[in-house]
Amino acid sequence: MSIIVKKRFDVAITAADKVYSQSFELDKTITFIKGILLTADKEDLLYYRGSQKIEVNKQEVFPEDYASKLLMTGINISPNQRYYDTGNLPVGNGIVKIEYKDQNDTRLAFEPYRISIYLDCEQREL
Amino acid sequence: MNGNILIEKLLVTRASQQQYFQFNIPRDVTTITGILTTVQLIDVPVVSGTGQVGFLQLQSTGKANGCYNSIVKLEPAVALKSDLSLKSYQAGFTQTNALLLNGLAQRGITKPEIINLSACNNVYGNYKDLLGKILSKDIQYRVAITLWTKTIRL
Repeated sequence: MSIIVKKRFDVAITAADKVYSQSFELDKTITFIKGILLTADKEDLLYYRGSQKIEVNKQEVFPEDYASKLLMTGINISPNQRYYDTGNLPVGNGIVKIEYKDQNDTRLAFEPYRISIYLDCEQREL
Repeated sequence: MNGNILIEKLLVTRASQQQYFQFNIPRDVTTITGILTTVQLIDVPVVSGTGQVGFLQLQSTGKANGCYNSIVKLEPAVALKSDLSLKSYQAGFTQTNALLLNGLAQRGITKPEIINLSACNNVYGNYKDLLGKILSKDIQYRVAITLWTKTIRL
């Protein structure tokens, strides 16, 4: 039997025009990632300035420069539809790596913000 | 995921600038299923009007009629400026708040434009600036063209 669990990881963005690389480890009981969602405490900064590369188990899921706005969602969307559907993505050794790039955009001046990556995971029941 | 995502990023610095580029399509790609363009403004005054930024043309190799033309547009800074005086927008909220006027919070699903282009070795592209031409000045911005593909499962 397996159950669905949601995981959240945060990255603090403290300076403009920089790349932030961070790796997160998943529990060993997690077998698949089924969906990915990106959000922030200041969503407009993520929307206009953000792009990222995401790797799961060293397999590239989203390439460099993939716009963050394509992984965001609005409150008008049903909670069950908010995750980007990755299919059943094998977790392997359980390392999720994100390389987030903040780039200047004249529509929005920089201020420190926090991005959060949410994972929709399938977990083996013990 | 049963597919790859391919991204080409262009830097535009001059008015009416034209750029040629190509996507090298991996051999395991069977179809190109979606396309989406995004724009990041580097050195541009606040833009009003039609929001047109440039003209994009793509041409695939190997087959006739495998082409795509589109005007690249800027998404509005705030998608929803008011609740249009419709009270139904406020359902579920006890007080009017910023969330109701926030275009980002209110927006729906972002989906790529669906295309169906069969397998090819390359997709040639041509991008021509319109924004600088309209404003009659050199401006800087980045355009990212993202392609979604389906691949053979090995």
